[in-house]
Amino acid sequence: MRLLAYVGVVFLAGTLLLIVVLVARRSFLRRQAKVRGELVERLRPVAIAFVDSQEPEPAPELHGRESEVFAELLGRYARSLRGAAWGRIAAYFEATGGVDEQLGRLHSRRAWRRATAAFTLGDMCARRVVPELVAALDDRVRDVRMAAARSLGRLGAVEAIEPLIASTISGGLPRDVGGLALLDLGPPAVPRLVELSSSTEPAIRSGAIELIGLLGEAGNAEPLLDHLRDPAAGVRTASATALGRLGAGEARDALVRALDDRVPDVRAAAARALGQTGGQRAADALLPVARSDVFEPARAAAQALARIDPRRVVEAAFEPDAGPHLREAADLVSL
Amino acid sequence: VTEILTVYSLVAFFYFLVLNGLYLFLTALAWRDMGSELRARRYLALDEVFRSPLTPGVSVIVPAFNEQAVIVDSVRSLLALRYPRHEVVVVSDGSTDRTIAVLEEEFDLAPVRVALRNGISTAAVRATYVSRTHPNLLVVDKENGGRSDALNAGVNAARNPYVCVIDADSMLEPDALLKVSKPILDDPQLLAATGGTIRIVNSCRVDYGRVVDVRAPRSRLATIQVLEYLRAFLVARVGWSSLNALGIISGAFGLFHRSLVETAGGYWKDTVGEDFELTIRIHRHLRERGEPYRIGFVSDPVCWTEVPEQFATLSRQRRRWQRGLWEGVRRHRRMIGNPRYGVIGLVAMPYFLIFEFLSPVFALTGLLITVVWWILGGLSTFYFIAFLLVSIGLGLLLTTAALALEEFNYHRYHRRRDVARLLAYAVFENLGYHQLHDVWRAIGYLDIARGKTGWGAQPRRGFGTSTDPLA
Repeated sequence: MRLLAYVGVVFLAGTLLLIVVLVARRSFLRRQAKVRGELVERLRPVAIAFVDSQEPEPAPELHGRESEVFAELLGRYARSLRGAAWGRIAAYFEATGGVDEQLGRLHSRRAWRRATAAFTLGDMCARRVVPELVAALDDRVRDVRMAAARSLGRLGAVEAIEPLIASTISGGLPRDVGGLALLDLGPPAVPRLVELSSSTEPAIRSGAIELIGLLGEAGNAEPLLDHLRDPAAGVRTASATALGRLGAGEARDALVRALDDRVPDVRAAAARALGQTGGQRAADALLPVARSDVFEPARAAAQALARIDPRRVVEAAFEPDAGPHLREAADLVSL
Repeated sequence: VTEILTVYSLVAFFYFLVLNGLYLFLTALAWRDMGSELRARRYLALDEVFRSPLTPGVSVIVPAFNEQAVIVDSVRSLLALRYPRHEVVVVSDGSTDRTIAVLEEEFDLAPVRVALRNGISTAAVRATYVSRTHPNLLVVDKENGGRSDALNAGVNAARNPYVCVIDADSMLEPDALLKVSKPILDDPQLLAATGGTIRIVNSCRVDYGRVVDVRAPRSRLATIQVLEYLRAFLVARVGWSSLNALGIISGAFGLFHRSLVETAGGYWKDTVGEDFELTIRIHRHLRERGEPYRIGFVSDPVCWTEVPEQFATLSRQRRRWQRGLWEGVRRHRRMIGNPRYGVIGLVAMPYFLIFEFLSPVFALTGLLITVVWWILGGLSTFYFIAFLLVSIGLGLLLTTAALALEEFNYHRYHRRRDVARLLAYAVFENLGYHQLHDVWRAIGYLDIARGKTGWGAQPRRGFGTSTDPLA
C-alpha cells in the first residue's frame, strides 16, 4: 500500500522534473536562436562577399559560434555555386581545419556522426577528401553510404564512378541516391555505364541503361537498340525509356516493334518513347495501341499520339471504337 | 461479493498498470527514435530528392463529401506542395453541397473524359474534370459510396506509382510529401507504406492554404485533443513503428504503393475504420506471402487537421473510431496471437483487442467499483488516495513526456502561454476528460451491438480567408 503511494509520488515528481527541464530548455533555445539569428544577419553579407567577389578576399577572422555560423552559410552556398567560389570555400575550410575535423569524424564510432561528416564534406568543396568518401561507400551503415554518395556527386568526383555504380548495383546504395550522384557526375560516367549495360545481371543492365538515358546523348543510343530484345522485361522497359529520353530517331522502327511486346510495361515505355522521338510512322503505330491495348500502354500511346499529332487524336476520338484513352487525350488536347 | 469486488478492483488496477507500463515503454522508444531522427535531419538531403529526375510521382487523393467550406484551401495547399512530380485527385463522393461548384470556380475546371482503371470496383463515376490553371489537379465526381469507395475511386484514377491519402479538411505542410516519401524512396523494396503526423489546426492562423502561425486551440475540447494527438503520433506511432508493428497509418495522411493497395483489394467499404483495416490487411497480405517489408512512421512531416469542438461531434467521432477498431479486429481475428504474422500478430493485434478495444470496460468498471467500494468502506482511504495518485501521476507523466518530445524536437508552439495552457490541460484531461472519453467509447459498444453503420454528419468551420499562392 505504502509502495503504491510512493510510486504515485515518483510519477508526480517525474512530471514536475520534466516541466522544469522543459521550461529551462525552452529558455535556453530561445536565447540560442536569438544569438544565432543575429549572427546569421551579421555574417551573411560577409559570406556573400567572400564567395562572390571578383578579387580574392581574405578569410575573415572568426571564432567560436561565429565561425560555426559562417561555416554553415558557406556550406549552404556551396550547394549552388561552382568555379572560383568553390576554390575559396575549400581554401577557407582547409585553413580553419574544418576539413580535417570532418575527416576525423568520418571515423567516429557513432554512425550519425560519420553520416553528418560525410554529408558536410560534400559542402566543403575540398576534393582531397574523395578517397575517404569512396571508402565510406563501404560503411556498414546505409545512412553513411548515402551521405558519402551525395557528397561524391556534389564534389564532381569522376574517379568515384566505378565505386558508386558498384555500390548502387550491389544494393549498398538506394537506386535513387546512387543514380542522383552519378547524374551529378554527368557524361563522364556514360562509357562505364555502357560497359555495364552488357552485364549478365538483368538488374545491372536495366540500372545502367536507365542512367545512360539520363546522362547520355543521341550518340549513345545505338548500343541500347539491342536491349529492346533483351530477355528481361525490365531491361527492355529501361531501354525503351532511355531511347525516348535520348530522342533517338534511329530507334523508331525498333520501338514500333516493341509496341507488340508481350509485357504491358514494355509496350507502355515504347509508346512514351515514340511520343518523344515523333514521326508519322510512330503515330500510325500508336493509334491501334491507344484504341485497344490494356490500360497503361493504351494511355501512354494516346498521350504520345497527342504529342505527335494532336489533330489526329481529336479525329480518332470521334470514332466509335476510340476507347477511353483516346477520348481523354482528345479532351486534354482541346483544353 | 466483497472478495470479488476487491479482486476485480485489483485486476482493473493491474490492467491499468500494464497498459500504462506499455505506454511508458513506447514513450522510451519514441524518445530514442526521435533522437536518431533529429540527428538524421542534418543529412536528409531533401533538396536532392526534390531536384532528382529519378524521384517517382505521387498522386495525392482527397476524398470529399460536402466539403465546400474547406476544399479550396485544402487543394491550394496540396497544389503548392514541394514535390517534383505530384498530382492532386479530389474525389467528390456524391456531395450535395457546392463542393464541385467551388472547385470549378476557383480552379477553372473543364470536363475531361478521364480513363479510369477498374482494378477496384466503386460506385459509378458521374464526371471527371481537369483544371485549366493547374493541370495536375484532377476532380472525380461520383455517386455516394462512402469514404472507402471514394478512396478506391481515387486509387483507380491515380496516374502515379504512389498514392498519398489525406482528408479534405486537412492541409499538408509544404515539405510534408517529400519528408513522408523519403524513407520509401530510399528503400522502395522494403517500405510498403509510411504515415506522417497529424496536428490540430483549430485556432492556428491559416493563410494561402498554409498554417502560418501555430497556436494552441482556444476551445477547451480541442486543446485536450492536441495532447491526445501528441501522444498518439509522437509517442505511440513512433514507438510501434520502431517495433515494426505499426497497426495504423492514419487516413488523414498516409503514403502507399498504388499497386500494393490495388493488389490488397483497396479500401474495405464495410467499415468506418478503413485506414486501420487497410494497414492491417497490408501487414497480413505481405506476411502471408513471406515478403520482407516495413510499414514506417515519419514524425516530422505534418498534416494539419480540424478537430471537433463540440461534445456531441467528438462523441460521435470517438464512437465511430471504436466501431472501426472492432470491425478491423474482427475481420482479421485470425491474426490475433498467431505467430505466422510475427510481431503484428503476437503483439499489435492482441494490444488492439485487449488494451484499445476493451479499455473502456476496465477503466470505467474499475474506477466505479473502486469509488463505490471506498464509499462503502471496503477500501481504505489510504489505498484510495494512493490509487488516485498513481493513476493521475502516470497520466500526467505520459502527457508531459509527449509534450516534452514535441518541445524538444519540433518546438511548434512558440508562445509560452500556449505551452502553459497545454500543460494545464494535461491535469484537466486526467480529471474528467479521460472518463468521459471512456463513456463515449463504451457507448460505441452499443453502436456495435445495434449494428450501426455510416459516419454521421461532420460539420466544418473552414480554415479562414486566404488567396491562391499559385495564381
